[in-house]
Amino acid sequence: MAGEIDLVARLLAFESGKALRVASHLHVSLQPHALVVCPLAMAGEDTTIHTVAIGHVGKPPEFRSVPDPRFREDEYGLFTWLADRIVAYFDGCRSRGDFPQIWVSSSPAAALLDILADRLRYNRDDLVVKRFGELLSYATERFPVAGQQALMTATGALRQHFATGQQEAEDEHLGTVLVWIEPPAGRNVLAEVAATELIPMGAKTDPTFDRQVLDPLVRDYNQARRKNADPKALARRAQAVHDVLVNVVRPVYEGTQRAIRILGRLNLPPLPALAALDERERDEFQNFMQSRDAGFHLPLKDKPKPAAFKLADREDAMDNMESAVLHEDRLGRARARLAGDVLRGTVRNPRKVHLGPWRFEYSLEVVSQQRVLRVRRRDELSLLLDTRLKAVVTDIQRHGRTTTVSLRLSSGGRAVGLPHAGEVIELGPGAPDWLGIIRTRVQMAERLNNPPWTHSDSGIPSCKPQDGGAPRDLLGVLEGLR
Amino acid sequence: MNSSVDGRLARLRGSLPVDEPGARGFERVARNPDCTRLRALTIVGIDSATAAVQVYGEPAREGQSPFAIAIGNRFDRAMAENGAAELLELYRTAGRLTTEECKVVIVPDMVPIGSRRDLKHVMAVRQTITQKLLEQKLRRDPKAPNIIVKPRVLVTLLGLDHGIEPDVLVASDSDAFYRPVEIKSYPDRAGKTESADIRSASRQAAVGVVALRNIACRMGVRDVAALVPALGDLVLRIPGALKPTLRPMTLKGEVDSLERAIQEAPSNLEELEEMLPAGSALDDPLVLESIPNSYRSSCREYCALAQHCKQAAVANGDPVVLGDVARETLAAAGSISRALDLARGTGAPPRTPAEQALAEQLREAMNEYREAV
Amino acid sequence: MSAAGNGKIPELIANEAVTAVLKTQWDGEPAVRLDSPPGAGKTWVVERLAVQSMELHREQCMISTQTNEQAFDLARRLASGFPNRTFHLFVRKGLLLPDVLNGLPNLATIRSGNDLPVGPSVVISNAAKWSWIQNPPLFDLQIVDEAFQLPDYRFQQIAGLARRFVLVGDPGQIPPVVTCEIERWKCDRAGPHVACPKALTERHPGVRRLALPVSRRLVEDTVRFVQPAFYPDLPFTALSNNGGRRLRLTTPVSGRASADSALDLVAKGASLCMVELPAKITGEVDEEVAVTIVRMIERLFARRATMVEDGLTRNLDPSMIGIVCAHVSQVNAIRERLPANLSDVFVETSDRFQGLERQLMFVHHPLSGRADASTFHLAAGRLCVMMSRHRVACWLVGRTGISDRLLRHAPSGDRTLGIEEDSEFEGWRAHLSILRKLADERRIISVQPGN
Repeated sequence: MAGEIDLVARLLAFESGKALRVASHLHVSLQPHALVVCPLAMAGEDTTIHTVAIGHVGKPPEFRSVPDPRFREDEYGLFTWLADRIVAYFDGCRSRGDFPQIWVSSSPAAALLDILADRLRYNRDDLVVKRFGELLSYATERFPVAGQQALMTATGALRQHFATGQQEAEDEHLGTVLVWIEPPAGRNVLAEVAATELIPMGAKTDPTFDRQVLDPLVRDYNQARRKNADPKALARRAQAVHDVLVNVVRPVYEGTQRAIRILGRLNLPPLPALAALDERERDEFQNFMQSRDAGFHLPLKDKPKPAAFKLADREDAMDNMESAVLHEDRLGRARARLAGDVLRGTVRNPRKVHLGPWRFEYSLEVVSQQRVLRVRRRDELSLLLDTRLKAVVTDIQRHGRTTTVSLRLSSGGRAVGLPHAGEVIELGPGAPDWLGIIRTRVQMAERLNNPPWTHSDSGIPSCKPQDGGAPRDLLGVLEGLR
Repeated sequence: MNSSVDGRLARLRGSLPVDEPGARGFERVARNPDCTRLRALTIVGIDSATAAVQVYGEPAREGQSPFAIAIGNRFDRAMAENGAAELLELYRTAGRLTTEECKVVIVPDMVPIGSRRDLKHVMAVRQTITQKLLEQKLRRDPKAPNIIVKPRVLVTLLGLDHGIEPDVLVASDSDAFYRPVEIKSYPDRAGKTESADIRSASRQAAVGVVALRNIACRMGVRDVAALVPALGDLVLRIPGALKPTLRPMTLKGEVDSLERAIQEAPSNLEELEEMLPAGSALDDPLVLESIPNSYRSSCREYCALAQHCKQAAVANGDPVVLGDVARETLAAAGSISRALDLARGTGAPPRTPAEQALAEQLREAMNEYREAV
Repeated sequence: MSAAGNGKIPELIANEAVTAVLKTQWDGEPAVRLDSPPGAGKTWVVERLAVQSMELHREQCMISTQTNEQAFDLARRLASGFPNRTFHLFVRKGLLLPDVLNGLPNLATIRSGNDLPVGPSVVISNAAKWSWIQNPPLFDLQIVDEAFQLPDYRFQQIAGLARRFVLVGDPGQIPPVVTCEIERWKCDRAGPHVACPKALTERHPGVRRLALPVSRRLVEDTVRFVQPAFYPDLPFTALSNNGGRRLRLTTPVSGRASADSALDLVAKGASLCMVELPAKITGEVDEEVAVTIVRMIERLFARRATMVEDGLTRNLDPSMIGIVCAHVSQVNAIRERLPANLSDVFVETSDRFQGLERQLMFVHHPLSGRADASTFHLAAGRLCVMMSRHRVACWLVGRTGISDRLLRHAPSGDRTLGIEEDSEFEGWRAHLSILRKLADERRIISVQPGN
């Protein structure tokens, strides 16, 4: 069953009171210039930012708040302030031929950026705010794609490398995950986690804090504003709101930075796939920016053709990431072995059959003790050590716990050579094909160039009946053709 | 009339204050039909948050932020103002109501909570007015309203009468009866809408369906399911604006789980009293603990006692503290420490074939993990 | 004897329905959606549509399947069914074909788009291969088999390859597998992830829709369980009344084995029953279930079972038996315990069993031995496939207590705005209704393990 390794890791983490590593390589591409963005919305006002902390990796934050984000002018002031920083960062990345990377604390923060991007990029009144929305959209549109490196959640990145001793749902709280990874000495980890859980680490403030602290201060400000108080008094009240908000968002910022440091300090070798993923991200960013320059629209709802492209992209990314982790991460490989997606066994009876001049057929058997195997006849497997060697399963025999898989090489017999008898080898899915999507896109463009009526708004074409009617005993006539 | 029932409820509540569970309270019971503890609290009229604070001494935590409450109220008001103009427009655009079908009744306006604050009386009058409107519709009176805002129906659930206030009831003139509408200020983001928000809104609408069926039954309707199908409307908010979106929802699963939960034992006061020692009350932590719970990782979404139940699970070494998958996979072992024994080959040897199979699985995973990491 | 309301025998109704489908092509319908319950002979319909197109209309016909296996199977059936006609199989270079295909002289294998036949022809390939074709000709007719397993974004890539098409599929089985995030399209009933017949009907409600009303595979007794649970919107009846298909046990007297009474029940005419082992949480692999299934099969042979099918009596042969499970680990557990003489018994997961049939089926109940019912295990499509493979009889094997657990199930309640489907609830309800009906009709036999 999938997930046994992660289950064992969680058991051990619970017992020892400390999170365990579950990756042999680094799965995220830590961009040294990445931007950490920690926005907090006002509760119930999901398209607002009440306060934000922003800064580059390893640098202290800048804070910005508005006393009441429900006042559009003030709010747009904050958006403009943020926009300046985002634009500067994106432009810098573009001129370097690089890609921007934004880190947020957890999924709710990513969702906040997403809802803002979806709204602000259609803003007609304020071009700076509109640009802000557009640029954010790069990160938010990349977010659902497996292997993307544009918008990272600290919780997501940590989850790829660590197993805590709590529930998966609880891992969405950055504070508790950090406690598991670096438990404070001499304290019970669960008690520490329970205390930490009360500290907000997402995109919202705590309701009790809202009622007891924030709401009264916001009201004070609003009251002063209504009564046209003098600017100093107004500024004082605005500052009061800012001060309490900064105290809430600072830990979120620091937590996110800490997560990045932890990942860096793991000193894990990077997953080889990261090179391809970076390349992909650079291409995607360049295309995105050129599209914006050309004035192309980013729709909220997809028509069938762009939907098909996007889904194909995502499926391709998913397949490649799964393959990359299986091939390149020892834990990923171990998971695949346990799940039966990788065949591991001893080579038996490797043989080369001479079929004709320069024509050979290579065959072998692999004997495995794996409890679970998902291999079937006619599956094509690749040698994990060198994926140029591919073999097709011709037979599978299971006797008790032992499975004997017979294979015939379909390629790589000469380039790689037949494995030796007694060797332990691993066979599984092919290596990731990072360039495959380009070919797919070209082919899809060709096929979808003229949208068939089935996928357009035009009506159903009219019937064109055959000449002559159907024979009376149609089924009988067809039988007669046997 | 119900003084003896009220008396028994009060005794079971002990020192705890009464809360009207409302739609929110009921739909939670159906989320975890196995949790007798939550059901008991709901029957007796104790909110789980109250229990958490007053029975277990946890610090009081605010349920909802005042800002969220404010926008919720503003949105509700915006939907009701000008004779529910926004709602009418919404339903017209969706083709659900014609321009002629514009009869609106706003129940709270008819019976406002005055300075005297005699809540019980106000609620009773609202119930009466609602009852009359529903009867009017059942009679197929063409003057029956198309939109009723904040009606109040008295429904017998779990053996007791409770007030349920759907946000709105809607019906065209040709509809046989009303359909419940839940208005929420959550942003409607199509497929990106928060699933927890959709869940709670749908489940509350389902309580509206159950309430209407309950009323219809009392009014002598035979086939209540045909009169009140498992359908409800969610009215959500366009992100960043005070404008509504309309999402009709089929609520078969939600209504079914509610109706079943309501029938499960203890389904009423008698059964609950039988479960407990005589004279006991739910304000006593020991009494509450004696009622079986059913802790899952999803409890945190809707029950304030989740933290407490989790601590108990930790103390028991219940695998659920590692997640629902762990709970399922390690069920044969029964506890975290046993699972670790099986994985290491320590402690007592496997006692059942299932433990044997699990031990093999875990040992294999343990070895693979150690080698690879 | 079953009839669909107007007194006609099922065979006639079935033939009329097929004729109606065939006639749509004479009418020149640009698109036809054909919903087919299990075993309704849709492959048979696909074959006839293809032959009609090639021979009677002199057209170029293409068939799109979901997998290579399905393409092979279809090619074999067409070529062996119509030995005087030539058919074409279009596969990628280097693909290993099953031996049986190499022995068919009227089946031509082509490996390049340049070698597509000109003139009236039938070309079979899988949908993915078709989407990669370069400079395609415009076919006259495209038939998509198992269309409910083809997501719309893949169909979109081949929809333009033909003038007319027919989408044939079973709406009750396992839906298309899309693993990535689909949040942007979730609320779109015609989204790229949606099964293409559904998306097509959503986008063009006027598209011609037909259904096959008769199952040739399932007997009436099974249809009474399967249709209401999995096909509430697609009424259908069985071709074979119960008398026509029977299991006979030559040794009528039950042995000491308690599972024998489950065999007797089938011998008396029940086509579906459940064998329940004592309640236990076991995890995925349940040795006792595996052993019980193998023992029951051995008992069938020990009691010299024979099969009566539409007049023909044959001795039971292992190749007539299938065992289906939800997980590969369960499949392996059973295979490990099958003795060599039973190696022809086909054991597979439900995913791999789609499109296949056997006279007798054994099902490792997907919810057996679980602490909780998860969305995966509740999926109606999976249970539907498992319970609709048998021509004569099917035994579900699992632990007692599944109904109770279902009634205590805490639903996750994941819903999508504006989408009616609630697959978790539908699966839950299907599971429960099947178990209830089995109990009501006294089809549940309790056994002790080791018997």
